[in-house]
Amino acid sequence: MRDPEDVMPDETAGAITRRVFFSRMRKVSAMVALGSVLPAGFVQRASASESASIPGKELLIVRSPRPLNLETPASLFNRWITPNHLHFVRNHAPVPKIALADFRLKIDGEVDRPSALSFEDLMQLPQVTQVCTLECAGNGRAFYNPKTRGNQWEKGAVGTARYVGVRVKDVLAGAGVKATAQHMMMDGDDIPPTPTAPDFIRSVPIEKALHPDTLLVHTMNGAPLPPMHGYPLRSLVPGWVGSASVKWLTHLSLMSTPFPGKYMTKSYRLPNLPIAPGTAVEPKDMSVITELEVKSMVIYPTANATLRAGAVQVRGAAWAGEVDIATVDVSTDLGRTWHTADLGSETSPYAWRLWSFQWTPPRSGSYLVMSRATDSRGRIQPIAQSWNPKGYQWNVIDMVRVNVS
Amino acid sequence: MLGLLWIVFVGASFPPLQQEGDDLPDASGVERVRDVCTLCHSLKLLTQQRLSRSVWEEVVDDMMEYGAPLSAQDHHDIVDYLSINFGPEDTAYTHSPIP
Ligand code: HEC
Repeated sequence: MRDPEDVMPDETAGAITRRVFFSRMRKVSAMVALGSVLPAGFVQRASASESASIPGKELLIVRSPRPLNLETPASLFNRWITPNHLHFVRNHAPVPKIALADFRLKIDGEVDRPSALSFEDLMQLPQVTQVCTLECAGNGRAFYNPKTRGNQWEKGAVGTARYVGVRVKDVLAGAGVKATAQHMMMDGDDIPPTPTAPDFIRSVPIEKALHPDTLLVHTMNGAPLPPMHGYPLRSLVPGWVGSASVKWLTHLSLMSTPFPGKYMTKSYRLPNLPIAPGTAVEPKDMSVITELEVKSMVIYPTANATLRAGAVQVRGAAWAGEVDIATVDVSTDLGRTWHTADLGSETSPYAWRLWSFQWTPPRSGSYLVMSRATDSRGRIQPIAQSWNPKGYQWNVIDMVRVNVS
Repeated sequence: MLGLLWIVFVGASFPPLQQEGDDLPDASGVERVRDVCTLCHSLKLLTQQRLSRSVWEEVVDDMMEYGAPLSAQDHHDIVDYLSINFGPEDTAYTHSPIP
């Protein structure tokens, strides 16, 4: 069933126009610059439109318009499926424009038969539907103290969509995966602003790549992937941090070691020992982030809302990477007592679970509404957050202050 | 050098309608921030941040590695500018952000 609200036509009209403009400029500049290695991105000069809202994503918070980094205001998460026009965007470079006819997915590295598949080739493979929650590793970064560098996401660098695509294992079967293949590199067509800026390339271990739920998807909530979300093809590595799922995907390479680029070796890493807030960590003590943490958020009431006396339906969402949510507990008395919330009926592996709790404030005043999720593996949200240098994986018990009049 | 040529070229061809960063705090170093830190991305990437001097130093080092055309003096001035105008709001560590 297709929900009309899930589809927003022409989602990135602005971005495409801009892109075409820049690619023309690049050609001009290449001529003028005597064929030197000119930094392509330098042409993305500032313009007056920097603070305008983004076409197709008007309701989102613009963390950065260039590259696009857009956050969903938490109050808009009122449904299980996040419509495309509300889904967050985390881009590292400008949105590339890919014509379907020119599209090829190159497969090489530790395979018997390096190949290049067209979009049509991919459509011949069995098609799989998967509802999946994607969350940026940096969601919640804004709450860290000391502050850490990067987009200052609050609660909304997360969203849940229904994707359609093909299994990576089916795609790779044709190429023949060698026993030496231990990691799968994924590269998209997004181009860094200069040749010395890192290209967004990621790899995942072969077990995760070949898992039957790891997909290459072309459809998001019933529409072709919008350009900002990776048109025409992106990977979907379910249950893992968003950065594991690469957009505008055009190249898979099987490798004997993890891909050594900056987005593997410098970013998206966590200390593997507890550290004091604000301290530096030796590279050898950091590991690549893989699975999402167990986490919940209060969606309603919104922060600093004023409620009238009487019963209120507290609502939220909870998710736990590769496993299911077991329970969500709510406290309105600073954690002295916890009450089990009702879990929503809509479920899918890798998708968040909506929850609700009927609360009648005992009297007027100021309250903290807290939510705490536990997953089927027994992981539970912490009371205090362990700090890390890049502000990843914020998942402390969520707290929203409300005023009851 | 190349970077400089490039800025001249872009600037001459496409005079910005209204330069991004007109609302940056006016202090020593602001011109270099406005000129250089808008080359590859929006200024919002930096105006969102509230970072200590040592983290700003790492950020600006990385930007030079990525190709930001900065002299040693620029580097120094920009780190000064950023750590004064986009420094930590409060330095006390609180273990949990009670809203
Ligand atoms: C040569 C291109 C280039 C220039 C010039 C440049 N940056 Fe960046 N900057 C980047 C790239 C690439 C990223 C990473 C974008 C991503 O991954 O989303 C980035 C990201 C950032 C971030 C986000 C934090 C992070 O760790 O990713 C900050 C802050 C930043 N730049 C500050 C600056 C400042 C300050 C200047 C001016 C001194 C500057 N940039 C100039 C290329 C550049």
